[in-house]
Amino acid sequence: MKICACLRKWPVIILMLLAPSALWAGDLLMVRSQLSFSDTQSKIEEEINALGYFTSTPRRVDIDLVSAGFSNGTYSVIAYGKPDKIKALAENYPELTPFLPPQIVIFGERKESLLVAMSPLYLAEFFTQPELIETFKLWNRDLQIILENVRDAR
Amino acid sequence: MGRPEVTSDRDEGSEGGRLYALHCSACHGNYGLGGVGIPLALDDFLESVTDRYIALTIRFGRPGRVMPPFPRLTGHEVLAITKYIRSLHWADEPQFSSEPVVGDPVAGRGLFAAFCAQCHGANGEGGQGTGVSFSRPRFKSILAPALNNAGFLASASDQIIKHSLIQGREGTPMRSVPALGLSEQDINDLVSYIRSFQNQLTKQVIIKRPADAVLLQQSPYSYQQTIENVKKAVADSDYSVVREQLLGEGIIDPDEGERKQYVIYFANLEMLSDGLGRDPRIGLFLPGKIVIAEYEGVVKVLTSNPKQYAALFNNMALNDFAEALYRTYRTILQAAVL
Repeated sequence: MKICACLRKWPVIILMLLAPSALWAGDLLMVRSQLSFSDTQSKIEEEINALGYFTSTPRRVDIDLVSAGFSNGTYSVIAYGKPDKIKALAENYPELTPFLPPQIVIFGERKESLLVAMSPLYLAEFFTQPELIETFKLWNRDLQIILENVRDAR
Repeated sequence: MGRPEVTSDRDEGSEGGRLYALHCSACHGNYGLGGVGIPLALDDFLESVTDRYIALTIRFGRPGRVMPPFPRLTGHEVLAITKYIRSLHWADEPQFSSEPVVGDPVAGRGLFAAFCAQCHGANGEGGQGTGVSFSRPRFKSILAPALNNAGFLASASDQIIKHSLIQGREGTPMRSVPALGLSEQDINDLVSYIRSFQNQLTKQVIIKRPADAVLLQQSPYSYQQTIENVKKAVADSDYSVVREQLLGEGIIDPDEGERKQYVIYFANLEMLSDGLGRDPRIGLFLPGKIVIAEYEGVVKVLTSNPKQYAALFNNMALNDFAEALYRTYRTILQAAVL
């Protein structure tokens, strides 16, 4: 069996076909903080508040995981938002409520921390009302500022 | 070629350095030492791959294997990142012939089973799991790459694959195959077999994004009764309600008038352990979250559609988990409004 030249281009063709449905970077925002887990958690709350957002109490989702065999016990989720905006969106767009308020996941990795959030722009693919698109753009800009400031903190 | 322990003619302030920090460092580490993603600042790696390989890998990623594609970066930006990655160590770009390797894939198949499949999988599907893991100690070697991945096959030329087989990868279990007693013809046969994986690409599971981001059921019951129904349906499905609250609690002042958006969080240990073990980023959607909302007199029960999770995280390891969670959500939502 010999691989003909045209088949050598097949992976590229497959990747082109995948394009509309696969993840494109930008759907997920990930940054690495050089701060410890607890310092990262404090820093991100500070950065979120600096842009006028409120944060909920960080929620640990790793309870019982260590006892289940996981070695990492440093894991939390922070929800944030501006009260009036979250309230208005929840009242006017109930289909959006499963994604409210926005969240950021933090988990420790060695002496550093990883932060992960869904890009608000991801939602624009499903919720196309102009008011929502503007909100997602604003949230995305602010989220990038928050994450980049935490990433650059020393 | 020398192997100094540290480099650097890297320039973190360059365009490539800035773009690397923005798009790559979360997974590959600030200095390319690896983490979630493979270490890039290795002589053996940078001496084995061309700039074209790196650029195509950035552009196409590895579908389903966490490494995302970057189609929105311009060609100039991709090349800037490539140049920065090349500067992470002292290795110059290797020069390879573009000639295809001619071998016998049938013979290569047997060799692959004997020498490669233990790490790269029987069908070249790569090591189990992904680099994103709570519990994988970082001192352990990287996970074996998926050789049947469209992104890999598009990026790696025959000569790159051949060179990697001959050289191996220091610091990983990947050994030089001549040291294992394989001849050049054997190596050519292996390359030919690995290249033949591209004939099977259309049969692979392709991660698809669902049409709907939300699962929704309209309830014939009152808002309060629907909340109780959801809690009972959660319990009937062998999950526990771990928290219940008004939407936005902790952010919205509880005294700010009546609101009818209630959230029920539910989980069991198996759900958390399985999901977070596959990809800790899934914590963005765990524990399970069901919203009961009344809008213009109509009560709705809503949740995010788990079928989007594997696409969102570009992680095929989440496929089964997301499918099971989808069935759970559907069962709970349907039971709550029956």
